[in-house]
Parts: sequence; structure tokens; C-alpha cells
Amino acid sequence: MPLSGPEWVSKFQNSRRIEDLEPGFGAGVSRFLAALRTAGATVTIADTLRPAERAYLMHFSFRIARENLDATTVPAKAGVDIQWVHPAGGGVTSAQASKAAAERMVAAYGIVFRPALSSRHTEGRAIDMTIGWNGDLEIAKSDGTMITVTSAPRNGDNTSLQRVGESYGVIKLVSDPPHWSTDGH
Amino acid sequence: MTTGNATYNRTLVLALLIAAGAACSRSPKAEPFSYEDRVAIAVGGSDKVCVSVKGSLFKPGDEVRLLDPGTQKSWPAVVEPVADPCEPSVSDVPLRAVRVRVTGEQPAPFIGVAIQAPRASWFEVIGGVAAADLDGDGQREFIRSCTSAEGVHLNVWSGAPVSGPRRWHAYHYVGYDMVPSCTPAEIGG
Repeated sequence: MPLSGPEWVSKFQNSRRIEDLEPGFGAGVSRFLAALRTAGATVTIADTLRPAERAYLMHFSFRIARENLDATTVPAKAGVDIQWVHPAGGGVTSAQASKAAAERMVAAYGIVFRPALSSRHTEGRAIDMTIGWNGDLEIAKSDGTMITVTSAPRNGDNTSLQRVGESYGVIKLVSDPPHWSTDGH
Repeated sequence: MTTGNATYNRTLVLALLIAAGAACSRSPKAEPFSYEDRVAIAVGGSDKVCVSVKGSLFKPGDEVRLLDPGTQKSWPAVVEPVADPCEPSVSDVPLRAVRVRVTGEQPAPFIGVAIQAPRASWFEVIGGVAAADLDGDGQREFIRSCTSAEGVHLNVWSGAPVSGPRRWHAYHYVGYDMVPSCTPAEIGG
């Protein structure tokens, strides 16, 4: 079983593909994006699916490195054959070696705050995207009716656009500008 | 008449001298402090510190102050001539990336603010919140950060954190999920 360390960071990469979303949500996202592009808006996707395996690696590397979690207590996860506990040697204890390896993972991931273990992204039910347009936006809702968005801001924070997204089952999370999901979480 | 004229002349000269002195002692009119221009998102990684700015300040060679509101630590830094390989924060408004060089002790990775203001050279810590009178109006500004689902909200308030008038707010997208810590007052705007 491979030991923990920064080489894990390149595994289980996040996706930007709509096809990797949960099929029902993905269908709604595809239709919403098509409506946006037809209306002349620009859309840049940052993330769709975040693998649960990646969240597991980020979460526990941070807790071992920064919160002194005992590496021997980390639960196993199917599909991730990582060995969190390093052997002692070279003048350091197993706990020190395990923590140092976890710290290298935290640095390689660029983690500052404790990562969550699960989210709508790990379920394939969320998308992060930046949306923008110039002037008025004439856009179709899911039922085909057209609305014209004349108000500011001309981005995903626009509440009229958010109502359009809702018609496709794509719900805005107010606290995070790029984030849309199945239920606004 | 002659005496009267001489007195008048002396009075006039004295008045002109006083007026000239007053004009010389008056400092040039200070520009109003622009938080949008002078406060920016700073992200410190293991090998570089990148700043995402809105305005035209933060030019190469400018001295700035970095602050991690989480630990209340701050560092002096200088804007580098080349931004590469810094990228601006993900944002709905146009931001420009600049790279800064920390001139003293190197910071641990952080998400915080960069401030270009003479009064940002030192901070107090009041109730666990970094504070300094950034705009020189006699009131302290309080700088705090909190997490939402996948980003960090950075705020500057005058007078008191959260309840005081908010002077500046920015959001930095981190690209992974976190446990939210922000209150509603720290998110909007």
C-alpha cells in the first residue's frame, strides 16, 4: 500500500465536464448553459464533479498535519489504498514521519482551511461557473418563455438570472458567487 | 497722512505675510482613501504571494502590507515587476494579478488582504481581530476573514467588526469544499 505524500495530489482530479455530473442535474445544467450561450452570455466552468476520494485525501491530510489527528485513527476509504501511518526511521518516530508526509500533501494541495469530506460537488450535484454578459440578456426559461434581464449585476449574482436557473433545476448558493447546485447548498 | 499711510502700509504688509504663511503651512488637499483601490485579496502559497487588485495602484516597487486575518499576522512586501505566474482570483469583476515579495520573515500559506496605505504598517489585535486606522479618520478599521462553502470572505469594517459600517468586502474562491463559518453579515455585498 503506497505511503501518504505529495504524489497523491495528482490523483483523483476535479472535473469540469458536464458529463461527470449526476445525470438529472447534468441535463438541467446543459440546457441552462445552452440558453445562456444562445443569449450571448459567456460562461467559464471552474469545477463540476469533485471526487470523494480527493476530498478524503485533502480532509485527512489537513487533520493529521494541522490538527494533530493520530494517523492510526484515519478510517479507510474504498478505492484509496493510501497508508497514512509511516514507519519510524531516520531518527523520527512514526507519528512525526506521518505528520510530515501529511504536511507535504497539504502544501501541494494548497490547503489553508479544513476541507469538508462531502458536498454537493462530491455527489455530482453542483457546478462552479462564472457568467457574464453585456447590455440586456434575453434568455429562455426552461418552459420556453423568454425573459429579458435588464438589471445589474451582469453576472451570476443577478437575481433575475437566478430565477431562470431555477427553472432548469440549477439553484444558486448566495454565499459563493460561482456555485450552483440541485438545492442551493 | 504720512503717518496714517505708513501705518496702513505696515498693516497691509503684515496681513499679506500672515496670509502667505497660512497658505504655505497648509498641506496639499489629501485624496480620499479608496478602499477599492488600496485593499486587495492576497493569497500566500508555499512559494509565492499573489494579489488580485481592482484599480491601478499596486505598481511595481510599491510597498504594501500583507495581513492574514485568521492569525492576525502581517508582513511587509514589495510589488514585483512581473506578475507571472500569479493568476487573479476567480471573480465576476475584472481583477489584475500582481506578485509581491515579502521582505521579512516568510509567511505560512494564508488567504488575506494586501493594503497599500501608510497607516497599514502596524496592526493591533482587539478581541481576536486585527485593527488599524487605515483611512486616517480617527476610527480603527477591523479586518476579518471567514469561510463559506468554497470560498473565503474578507471584510473591513470601521469602528467595530460586523456591526460597524462595512468599508470593503471581497470573496476568494478556493476550489474545494469547506465547513462554512461566515455569518450572513459577512457574506453579502
